[in-house]
Amino acid sequence: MLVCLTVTAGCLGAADLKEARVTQVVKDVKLGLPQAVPQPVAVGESFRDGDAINTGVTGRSELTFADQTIARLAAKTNVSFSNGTRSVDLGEGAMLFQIPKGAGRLQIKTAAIAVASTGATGIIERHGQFYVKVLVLEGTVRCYLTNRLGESLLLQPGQILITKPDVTALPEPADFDIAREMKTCLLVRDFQPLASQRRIESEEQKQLKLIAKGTYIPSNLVILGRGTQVTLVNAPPTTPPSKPLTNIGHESRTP
Amino acid sequence: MHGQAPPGSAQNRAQLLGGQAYPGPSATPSAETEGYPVTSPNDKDIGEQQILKRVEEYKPFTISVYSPVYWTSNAALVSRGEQDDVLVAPGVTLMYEPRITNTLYAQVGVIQQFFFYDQLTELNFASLDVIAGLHYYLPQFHNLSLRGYYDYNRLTTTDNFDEIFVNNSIILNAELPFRIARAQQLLAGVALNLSFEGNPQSPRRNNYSLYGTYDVALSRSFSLDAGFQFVVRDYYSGDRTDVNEILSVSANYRVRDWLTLSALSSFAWNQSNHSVFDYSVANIGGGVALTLKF
Repeated sequence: MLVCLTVTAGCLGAADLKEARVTQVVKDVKLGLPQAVPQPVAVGESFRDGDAINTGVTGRSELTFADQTIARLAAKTNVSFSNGTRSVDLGEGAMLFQIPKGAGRLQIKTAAIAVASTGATGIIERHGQFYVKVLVLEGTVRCYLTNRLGESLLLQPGQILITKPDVTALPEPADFDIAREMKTCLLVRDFQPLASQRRIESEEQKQLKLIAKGTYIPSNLVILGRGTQVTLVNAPPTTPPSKPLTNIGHESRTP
Repeated sequence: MHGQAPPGSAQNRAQLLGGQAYPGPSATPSAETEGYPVTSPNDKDIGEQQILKRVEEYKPFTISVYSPVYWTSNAALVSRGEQDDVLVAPGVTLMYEPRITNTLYAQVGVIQQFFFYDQLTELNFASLDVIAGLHYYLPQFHNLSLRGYYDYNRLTTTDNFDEIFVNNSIILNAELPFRIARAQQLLAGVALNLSFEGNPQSPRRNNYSLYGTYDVALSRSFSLDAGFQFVVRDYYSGDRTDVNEILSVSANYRVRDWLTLSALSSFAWNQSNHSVFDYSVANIGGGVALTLKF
């Protein structure tokens, strides 16, 4: 049985900037304090630097920071916090982040890859040593390697980057359909509407215009759910590309 | 010899400052992505990503207007009696680079630049280049870039455009980029500028150049460039051969996609087998460039 409890972010007004709170819990979510056994977490609980949050196989959670930055954790995800909770270390799993315009810079690190922004909504996923995936729904996100000076790129709305966690050079991003992502993402559908919803819709409209203009061609390549497995679906009404993007193969491989 | 430039000095000045003021448009082949097909637990938490194929919109026309201003330590590029001055070098570049194949581009362009001195106005001149050629990329060879083009160069006075020198040459150029990281790049190049017709004869020469550049983007808007060029100039008349070294450093701030502000500096040393043509010069200044692609 799903137990979803939501607390409005308004109650966070007086919160310390170095503190954030759990604002939604779905099933199995645990808070791991430093040097303590992880305990089930409840809505309203706060967490600080050094704390870690883990979600179980069916668990999900929403965390709200004092500046209204939101992080939604997918199932089987573990994250920890540092630098006054402005730095999130994603050990495994996936999270949606929504950083309000004008909020402080939030950095999310996973393996040697980091993403940072001062105003954006996106999704980051790490699956063990196999891949890291970053999607941007609105705003601009800087993606860079923490161990290589200058290896940095800006991801714009509608761009997806898929790479290995131990990469030494970032690949070029590809483009994805924001509207389809929004319709199918449970971290969007099963939670309260995002504060950045209108900006995301605006980006969807821009993509539609670019499709109408011919700048974008919807391909018949879809990544369903997690992973990088690409499914060849029925060709869209418009002409598909002559060859698939080179970074995404037709065949799947299970790690 | 105050204020009087030796033969070829206008050419030297145009080559020293003209290239730095505007690096020139270059067509770049689009990079394709690479990736790793892997699956993981197929839940729907992060949804479905339908891949959109972006159709590259190639813009073959470039218009650039720029105006660097320099303080120069040796306005006339002379070995003795050097005089400093302030130099303004506004220019405009019109370039058309149609794509013939994915890696082959044609290149046709007109470059007009003026060189106005504050004090030594008798040195003022204008430089017109009309170029036409081909630009070929070899992605399989480390993104080697090969260019070959014809260059018609005409130097004139600035008041009534009387001809000072006209030159016809073939320029062959190879460049090899080395990407250190996404925001840092080294580039090594070799260029041959072979004059096959010119008037008068005394400034006519062939240039054989080796050069290297280093670019680093410190942010999305701010970048630093440094370059070094070694040139042998073999003159057609007078048994004259010069060896020229140029070091340049610039900082560029891109205010908009079409507007760039720059701080520019260059230092050049020229050694000739005729010592009267030896000189050294430092140029320090800044500039603004407006560039439109369509």
